[in-house]
Amino acid sequence: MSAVGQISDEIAASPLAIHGLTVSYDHRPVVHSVDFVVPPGSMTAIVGPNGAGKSSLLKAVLGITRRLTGDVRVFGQPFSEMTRHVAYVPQRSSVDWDFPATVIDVVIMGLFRDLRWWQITGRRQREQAMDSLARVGMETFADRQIGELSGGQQQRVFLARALTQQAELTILDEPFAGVDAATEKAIVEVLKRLREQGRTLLCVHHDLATVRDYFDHVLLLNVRRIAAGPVESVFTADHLQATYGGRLNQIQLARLVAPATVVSEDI
Amino acid sequence: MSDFMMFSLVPMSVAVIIGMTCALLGNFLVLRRQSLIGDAISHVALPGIVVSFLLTGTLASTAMMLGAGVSALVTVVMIELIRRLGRVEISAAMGVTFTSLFAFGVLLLEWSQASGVHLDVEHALYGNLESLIWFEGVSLASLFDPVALADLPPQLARVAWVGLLVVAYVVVFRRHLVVGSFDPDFAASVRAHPVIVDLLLVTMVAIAAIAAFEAVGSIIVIAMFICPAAAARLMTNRLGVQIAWSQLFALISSVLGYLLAGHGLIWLGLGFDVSVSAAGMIATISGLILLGACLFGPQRQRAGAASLSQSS
Repeated sequence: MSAVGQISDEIAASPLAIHGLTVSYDHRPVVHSVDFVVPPGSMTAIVGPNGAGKSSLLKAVLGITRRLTGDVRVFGQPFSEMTRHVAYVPQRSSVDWDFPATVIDVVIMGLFRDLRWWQITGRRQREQAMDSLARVGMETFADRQIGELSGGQQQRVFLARALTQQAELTILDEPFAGVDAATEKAIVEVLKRLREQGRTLLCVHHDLATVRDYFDHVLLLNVRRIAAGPVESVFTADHLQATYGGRLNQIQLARLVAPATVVSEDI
Repeated sequence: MSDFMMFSLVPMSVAVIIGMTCALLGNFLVLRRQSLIGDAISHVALPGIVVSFLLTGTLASTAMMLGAGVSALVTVVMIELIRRLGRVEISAAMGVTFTSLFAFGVLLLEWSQASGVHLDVEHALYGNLESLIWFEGVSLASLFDPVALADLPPQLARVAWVGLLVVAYVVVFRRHLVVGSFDPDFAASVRAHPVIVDLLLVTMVAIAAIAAFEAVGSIIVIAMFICPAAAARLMTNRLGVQIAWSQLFALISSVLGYLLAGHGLIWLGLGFDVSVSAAGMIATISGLILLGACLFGPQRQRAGAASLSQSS
């Protein structure tokens, strides 16, 4: 009985608890029976090879694609009642950047849920959006056409849109894909500041070399859950080998799992 | 003046209302790269109208609108089925659906005429703007005369209602439409219901297409949906400004097209009693506006420029 009580306490406190989540395309499971509880205030990475179902898991959690089975809870409540508490940064390549919109137009989309149809976006919304843009260092780009931005700048705009959502949990799909080093550093700073404010971050991440530097928790995923927990105890050679099906060589592995050999970072 | 009131005021108003309504929706079709859907729906109105005629034996507008509406619905379902079952891209599914249904409509039409009834093929294809005559419209005073107003062709009121409905839809769902067009995944995550808004958009397109069908015929509706919006996209990088341009282009094409069809050849000295199809001329003018925007529009290079910066 006490074990059951403990589990539900953990789930009630967690900004995202997934139980038995299965997603399938064309009768083939791409995510199979995954259990995972995101610790509150954590910065958690989802790591796995291509086709491991990382994005599919996020989309099923967010209700963008349908899940076959599974339960998704936010602070113990069904996800559908708690969507306001979750912000989402899709993959940058998933949208048409040729769309006729300016940077500030896109950031104001983060206020979608706060605006009723008769309301006009005015100075207050603009100020909120400018605030978010300033946090990602893009305030001078507010009136630029989004098609004129570099990949890194586009990613910052997406992050600014998520910031205006002021959510407890922010879910990001490969935020560092195809961005320059300066942008990566800036984004990590913003994410770490959010964590300092007690917010939770869940991030699909593809660069194994930076997992230890950026994240405190990790979910290793390859269709099924391979392992999950604090980075120092879970991000091990055995688990990585199991996740990547033996495709990593020993030298790579040794460098990844031993923090001492990671190139020291002086940020 | 009385000639204008009687013969031109109503057709021109119908053309303007239909043109601006279709162009408004066209903006979102162009942005979603769904331009073909307008074409698909307007083509399949034909078999719907023929079937409703065969069933009811009348050419009453309500029955025809209903038939066209049902066939538009059938089309949307068929397109989705072909896309899912055949696993082909949506434009292929649309192409197959609307050409085959349109062909079916033409065959039905021929067959119904062979069996001794009359339904005008020409009107189905080119519309009959010119036939919307306001017999009581004898002078400016008629505009304030209730008796004369009661005699207005019913098509005018119908397209006006459709126009109002479409404007209301776009105003109420403007944020849903924009977020869903730009970033459907994000839209779903903030419960902007992109799928429902999308279905509503297709429904609005169907309603506008059916209303336009009567006025301009099935062939030319696509020009009303796409040309003004596509031309407007080349003028600006702001959505609000784009919509304003599309409305202006639709207005110019409708008025200019109508006037040129009736009087253009006379002005050119090509004869006195020569006039051409107003719908055809309206479509031609909107095509020419699009050509002009392609050649001189300030944002005409944006697509190329964007793909260049992507690859660098």
